[in-house]
Amino acid sequence: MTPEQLGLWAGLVLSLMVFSYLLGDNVLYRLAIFVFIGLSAGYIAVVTVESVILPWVNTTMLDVQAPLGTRIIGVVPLLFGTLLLMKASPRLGRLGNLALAFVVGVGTAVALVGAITGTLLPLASATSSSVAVDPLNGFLMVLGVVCTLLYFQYLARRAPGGGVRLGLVARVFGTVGHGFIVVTLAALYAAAILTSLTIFSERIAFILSRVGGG
Amino acid sequence: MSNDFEKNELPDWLQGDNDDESFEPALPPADDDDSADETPDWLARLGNLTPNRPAAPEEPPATADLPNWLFENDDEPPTGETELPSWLADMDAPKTSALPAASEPSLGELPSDDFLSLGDALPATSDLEMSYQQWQAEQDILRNGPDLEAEMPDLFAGIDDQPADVKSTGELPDWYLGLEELDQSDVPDWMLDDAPAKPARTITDDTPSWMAGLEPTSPADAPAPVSGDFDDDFFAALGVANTTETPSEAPVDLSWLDDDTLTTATERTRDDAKEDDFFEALTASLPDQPTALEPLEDDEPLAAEDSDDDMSWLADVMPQASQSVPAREANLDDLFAGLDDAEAQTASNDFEIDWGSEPEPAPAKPTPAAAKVPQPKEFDFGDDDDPFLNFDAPRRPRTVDMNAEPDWLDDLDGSTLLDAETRPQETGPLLPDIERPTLPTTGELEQFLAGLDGDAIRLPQTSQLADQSDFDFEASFGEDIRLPERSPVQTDNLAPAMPDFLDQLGANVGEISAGAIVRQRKDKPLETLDDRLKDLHNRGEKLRTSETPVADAELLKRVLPNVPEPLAAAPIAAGQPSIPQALALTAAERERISLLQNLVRRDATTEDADALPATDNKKRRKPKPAAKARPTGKRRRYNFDRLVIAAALAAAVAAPFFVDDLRIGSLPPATFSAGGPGALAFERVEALRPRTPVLVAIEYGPTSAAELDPMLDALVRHLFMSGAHPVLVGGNPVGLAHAANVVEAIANDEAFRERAGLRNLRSGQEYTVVRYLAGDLVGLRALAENTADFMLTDIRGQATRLNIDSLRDFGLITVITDNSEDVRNYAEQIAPIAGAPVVLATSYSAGPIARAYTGTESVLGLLVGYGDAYTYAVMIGEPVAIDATVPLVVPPETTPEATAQTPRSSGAGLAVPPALATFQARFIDGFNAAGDVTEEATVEGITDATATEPPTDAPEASATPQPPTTAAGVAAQSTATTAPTQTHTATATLTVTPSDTPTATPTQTATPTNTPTLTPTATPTATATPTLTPSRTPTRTPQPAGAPTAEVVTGRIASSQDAVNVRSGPGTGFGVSNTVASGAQVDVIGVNANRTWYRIRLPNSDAEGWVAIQLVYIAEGADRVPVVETEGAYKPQPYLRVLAQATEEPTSEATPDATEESTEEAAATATPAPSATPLVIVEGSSPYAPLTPVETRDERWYATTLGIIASSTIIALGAAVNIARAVARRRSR
Repeated sequence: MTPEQLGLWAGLVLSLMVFSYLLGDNVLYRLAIFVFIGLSAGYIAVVTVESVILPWVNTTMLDVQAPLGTRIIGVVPLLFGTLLLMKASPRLGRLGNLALAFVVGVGTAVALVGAITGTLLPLASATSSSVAVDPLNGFLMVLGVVCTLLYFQYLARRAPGGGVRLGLVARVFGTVGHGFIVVTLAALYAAAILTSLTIFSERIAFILSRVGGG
Repeated sequence: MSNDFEKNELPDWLQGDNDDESFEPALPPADDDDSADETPDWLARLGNLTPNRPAAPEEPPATADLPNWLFENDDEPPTGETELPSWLADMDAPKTSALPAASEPSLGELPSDDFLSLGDALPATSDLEMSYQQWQAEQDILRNGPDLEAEMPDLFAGIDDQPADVKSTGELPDWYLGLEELDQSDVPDWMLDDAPAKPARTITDDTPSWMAGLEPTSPADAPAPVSGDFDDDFFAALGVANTTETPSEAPVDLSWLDDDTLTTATERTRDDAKEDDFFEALTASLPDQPTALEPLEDDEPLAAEDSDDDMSWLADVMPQASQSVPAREANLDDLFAGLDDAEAQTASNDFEIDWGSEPEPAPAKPTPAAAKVPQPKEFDFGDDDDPFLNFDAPRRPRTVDMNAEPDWLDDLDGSTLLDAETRPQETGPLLPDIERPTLPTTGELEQFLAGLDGDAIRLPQTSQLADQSDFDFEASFGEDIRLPERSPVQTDNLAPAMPDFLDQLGANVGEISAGAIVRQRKDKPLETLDDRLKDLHNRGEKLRTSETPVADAELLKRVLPNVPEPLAAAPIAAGQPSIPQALALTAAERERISLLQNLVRRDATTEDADALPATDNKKRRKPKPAAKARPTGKRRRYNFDRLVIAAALAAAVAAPFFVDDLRIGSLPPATFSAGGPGALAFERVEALRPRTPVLVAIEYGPTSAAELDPMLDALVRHLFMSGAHPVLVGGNPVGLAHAANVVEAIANDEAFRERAGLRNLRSGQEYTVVRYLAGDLVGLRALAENTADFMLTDIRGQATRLNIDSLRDFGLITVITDNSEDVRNYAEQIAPIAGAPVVLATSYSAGPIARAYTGTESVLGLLVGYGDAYTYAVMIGEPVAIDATVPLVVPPETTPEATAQTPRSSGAGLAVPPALATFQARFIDGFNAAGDVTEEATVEGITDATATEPPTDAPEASATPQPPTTAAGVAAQSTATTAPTQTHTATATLTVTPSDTPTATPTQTATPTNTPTLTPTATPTATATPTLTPSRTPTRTPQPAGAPTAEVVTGRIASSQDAVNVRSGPGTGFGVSNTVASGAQVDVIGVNANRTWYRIRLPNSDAEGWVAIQLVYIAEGADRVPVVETEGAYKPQPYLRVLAQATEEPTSEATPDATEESTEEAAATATPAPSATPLVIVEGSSPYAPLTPVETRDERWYATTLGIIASSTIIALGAAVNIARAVARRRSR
C-alpha cells in the first residue's frame, strides 16, 4: 500500500468517525476532532515559526547589514508577542493588555479605513450607477438600502400610555426593509445549505469511491 | 444628651462605610491631664519668658509673672493659685534648658533669691550698655509677649496679597482652602438641587419681637450685605471675629439664628448652587444682625497692629475659622444636612416656631473639658445640642426657643481644632460622642487652651492648603467620619456602577433583606393567595422569628422605623446576576438592582439555602447530588429523528451515484453567460500576458476543500495555460498548505503539462507559494502596503525568486475563499490599492456577499460555488459529459455585423462570450464528448472581425500561407486573406476534420502548418483546407488601429474616481497614456474582441486610448460599437511559445511574421464548412486533450441537486409535522 493509498484510507476512516456524531457525542468523533485540531495547531505553529517569525528575525534583528533602526524595530513585535504570552499568567496578565490594545486598535483603524474606501464608497457608487444602467434594478437596490436603514432607526414618539410607536412612514418603509432583510438572510441561509450539501456530496463520493475500490 | 449621636441618626451621606456601632471620639479627651504639657510651643514660650522679666515694682508680684494679655478679658485677674489652671501654673516653671533648675516660687509668693538670681543668666536684661529706650522696648516685649506676627512671618506673609490675586469662592479665602480651581463638579450633589428656587422669605414680616430689643448699635435698619467680602462673612457667621472689637463683652447672642433663618439661608444657598455662598446667604437673610456679627473688613482679622496688645482675636479666629477648616467643614456638613431636613419640615408645616416663648431652661451639662477649667460663662447646650434632633423627627412638632443659641452653633463653636494634614488619619468620628471643649467666646482663651490638645493647635499651614489645587471640597465633609469598621459587605457580584452610597446603605441595614422592606406594605389576605404564595409566606414566617438577631432588630427600628419586624435575609441560589448585567438598564435601574443585591447578601445566605425547608418542591430545584458513576450497561438514548433525517439525506445524496434515473436536473452550463461575472473572470485570466505574476489568495481550509478545490484547480490550470505565474498566499496556513498540495498535483500532472505545452512546473520557478498572512486583517493590510516583504520567503521560509514590489505588479488578483469576511477584507484592503483587477472565487455561502462587490471598479469577476467551478473546468477543456441540450456549436450567423456585435446565443439560449469563442478556437479539441457535436468548434471571434472588414483591405494584408507539414492535412494554399493577420505561435497539432458538408464559401482558412494561421477573410476562398490557428489571440482581420468605423457612439466616463486611466492597449498591462475626467463625454470608436475595453477618443482632442468597458456608460448604441484591434495586442505567451519553440512578435504590421519553427506536425484536414454553419470540425487528439478526468464530477452535481431536493422536503415535512402537532395539542386542550 502506497502512502497515498494509506492517506486515502485514513481519510475514509476519519470521515466515518466524524459522521458518527449522528449517534451522539462519542469517543470516535472526539478522537477525529482531536486529531484535526492537533494537526492543525502543530502545523500552524511550525509554519508560523518558519514562515513568519524566523524570516522576520533574520531580516531585522539578526541582519548585521540592516540599519540600527530596522534592527530595533525588529524587536517590537517580539516584545509585544512576549507581552501577549503574559496573558497566560493571572498575575502578569495585565501586561498583555498593552499588546492587545495595540492589536485591537490597529485592527479597528484598518477596518474602519478599509470599510470606507473599499465598501461604502464603491458600493454606493455601484448603487448609484446601477440606477442609470438598469433603472428597475437600481430602483430596487436603492429602495432596499433605504428601507433597510429605516428599519433600524428607533426614533419614535412615546405614547401617553407608555408605548412607543413609530411614525407611519417609518413603519411602512421599515416593514419593506424588514422584507429585504428576510430575503437577504434567506439567501445566505440557502447558500450555506448549498455549501454544506456540496461538501457532503464530495464526502459521499469519496467514501463510495473508496468502498468501491476507486 | 450631649453629642450622643447614633449612626442611624446621621444623614446617609455622612455615614461612611462603617457600621452602626458607636462612634469613636474624634479627639482625645480635652480634659487630658497632660494638656498643660501639650500647650502650643508659642504659648509655652510666652510662659517661659515670664521668669526672665524683672519684677516690676508697680505690679503685684502674683501677677507679674503672667502676661498681661491673659487678664485683659477679665474684670479681675485671678488672685489665687487655686483659680489658676494647672497649665498656667506650669508656665511659671522655667522650662528653658538654659535656665538652671531652681525652686519655683508659688503664686502669691515672692520669688526666692535663687529664683531671682536666674535673671543674671539673661544677657539681654543684664546688658548695662543698653539704653533706657532699648531696655524699655525689651521690657515691653517681655511684658506683652513677643510679636506674634513676627513669630509667624510665613503664616501672614502672603495673606494680605493673596486675596487680591485669587478668585474668591466664598467666605473662606480661596488661598486658604486651595479652592481656586473648584468648579461645579466639585460641588456636592445636594448643592446642585434642580428644585426651583424658593423666593427668599420676607424676613421683615416675620421679624419676632425680640428683634426690637436689640442694642442700637446693631445695624437693624440696614440690610445685611448680600454680597461683599465673603471672607468677612464667614467670620461674621461664626460669630467670633468680633472679639477683636469687643473683647470684654458678654458672649455673643446668637439667638437670632433661628431655624427659620437657616432655612432661608439654605434656600438662598441653593439658589446660588455653591456651598461657599451659604454664609453670604445666611448673612443676607438675617433681619438684624447684632453688631458682633457685622462683616469685618478684609484685613481686620489680620490687623495685628490694631490690637498688638490683645492677641485674643487670634486665638478665636485662627483655631476656629482657619486652622481647623476641614474640621469645621465637617461640622458644617451636619449643619447642611440639618438644614435640608429643616426645610422639609417647614414645607410640611409640621414645624412650629414659637417666636415669643421663653427659652426652655436647659440643665447645665458641662463637658468634661469644661469641668476642669474655670468657666466663667458657660454655654448651655441642654439636651438639644444634638443638631440632628432638630431635624430628624418630622412628625414631632416641637417648639424652638429662638432666644437660645441654635444647636448647630454649638458644633461650630465646639469644633475640634485639628491639624488639617493629620486629622483624617489621626482622628475618629468627628461629630458624635465628642467631648469637645467649650469654646470660649471672649476672654476665655486660657481656659479654652487648657482644655485642648496641644498638638492639635497648630497654626494653619497656608502654603500647604494653597497648594492643594485639587482640593476636594465634598470629600472634606465626609472623610472625617471614621466609623467603626465591620465585616465588609460582599460586593463581588455587584454591578460595578453601584455608587458608594448604596453600598454604604447596604451596610447600614445589615441583615435586613429586601423581603423585609417589602413586607411593610400591606399584603393581600392570606386566603386570597394561591398555594405557591402561601408556601412562600409560611417560609417567611419561619425565617422571621428564628434568624434575626436582636441587635439588628434594634437597628432596623432606627433605620427603618416603619418596618415592624425584620425578616432574615432570604436565601437565594448562588450565581452571577447575569440577566441584570446583560440587559440594557438605565442608571436608576442599575442602582436599584445593586441595592437589592447588596441587601440580599448572597454570600451569607447561599450556604443556608439548602438547609431551608423546601416547601415548594415543585418549583425548587433540588441540589444536584454528587456525580455518581454511570451505571454500566446503560444504554444511550439516541435521537432517532435525527438519525432518520441524516439517513434520508445521505441516501438522497448517494443515490445518483448508483441510479442513473435519479440524476435529476441538468449539469452546469458549459460556458458562462456573456458579460456575466463568470465570463469576466475567465476573460481576465485569458487576457493575462506571459509571465505575469498573479496573486492567488487561498482563504479556505480543508473543510471547504470539497467545494473550492475544483475552483482552485481550474483557475490554476488556466493560469498555467496562460503563461502566468501564480503566487499563492493565504491567511489560513492549513488551507495554504492544502492549496500548495493541489497546485503541486497539477504541476505533476504530466498529461496536463503535455497538453498545455508546459515542460516543467516547478515550485519557485513557475509558481510560488509564499508565506501565509499572519494577523488576519492587519496582515492583509500589511501585504497591501509592504508587498515586497511578503514576497521574500515562501511558506517554508526559503527565499523566493520573485521581484515584486507592490500589488500593482500583479496582473490579476484572485481570491478563493469560503468566508464572506475574507471577501470583505480583500475588497476593502486589497482591491482599492492593488490597481489590478480582482476576481473572486467563493463558495456558495460567501457568494451573496461577494456578488455585492462584483461589478465595482476593482472587483470584476466572480465565480461562485461548485457550479461555476464545473463550468470553468469545462471551458478550459475538462472532459465533461456535454449535455445534449447545451450545444456548444454556435449556429451560423447570417448577419455578420450582428455576429460581431452581440454574443452568440446557442440554440438553448446559452450565450457564448467572445472569450470563450477565442478559447474554443485555441483549444478546439477541448470538447470531445460523444457525438458529432463535440467534434465541432467555432471560431466566432475570427469571423466577427472578418465579417465587418471590407474586402478592399485584402491586398494590403495578406498572410503568408504556411505550407502544410503533414500529409494528414490538406495544405491551405489559398489563403486569400484580405486583412493583416496576426501570426501567433502555437504548438498545436491540429487535426482538422473536414466537415461532411463542404461549403463553397468557407469563411475561414485553416492552415495546417506547424504554425497554423487562421486567416479569416471576408472573401470566400476556394481552399477547402482551412487553417486553424490555435493561438491565444486568434488570427483575425482587424481593422487598422484607430480606424474610424461607420458610426461613432458617444459615451460618458462613469467612475467614482475623479479620473480614469486611458491606456495604450486593451488591458492593464498596457501603459497609461492619458487620463480622462469622470463624467467626460467621449467618442467610443471601438471595442476589443473580448468586449472588455473601449477604444475612445478623448474629448477636445484627437488622442485615442483604451478604457475599461465598465468605466464607460453608453446610453444608446452600445451594441453598435465596432470591434477593433489595436497595436501591440497580446503578446505571445512564452509558455505556449516554448512549447511551440517559436518566437513570435505581435503583428501590428499587416504582414504576419511567422518565424516559428515547427517541431510538431500538424495534421489538419479542412474542408469547406457548410455555408450555413462555419464550423471547424476537429478530429483526433488535440494539443489540449482533456485534462485528467474527474470521475465523479457529474455525479456530485446530481447528488448535490438531489440533496437540495431532499433537504427541502425534509424541512417542509418537519414544519408540517410541527404544525400538526401544535394543532393537535391545541385541540387536546
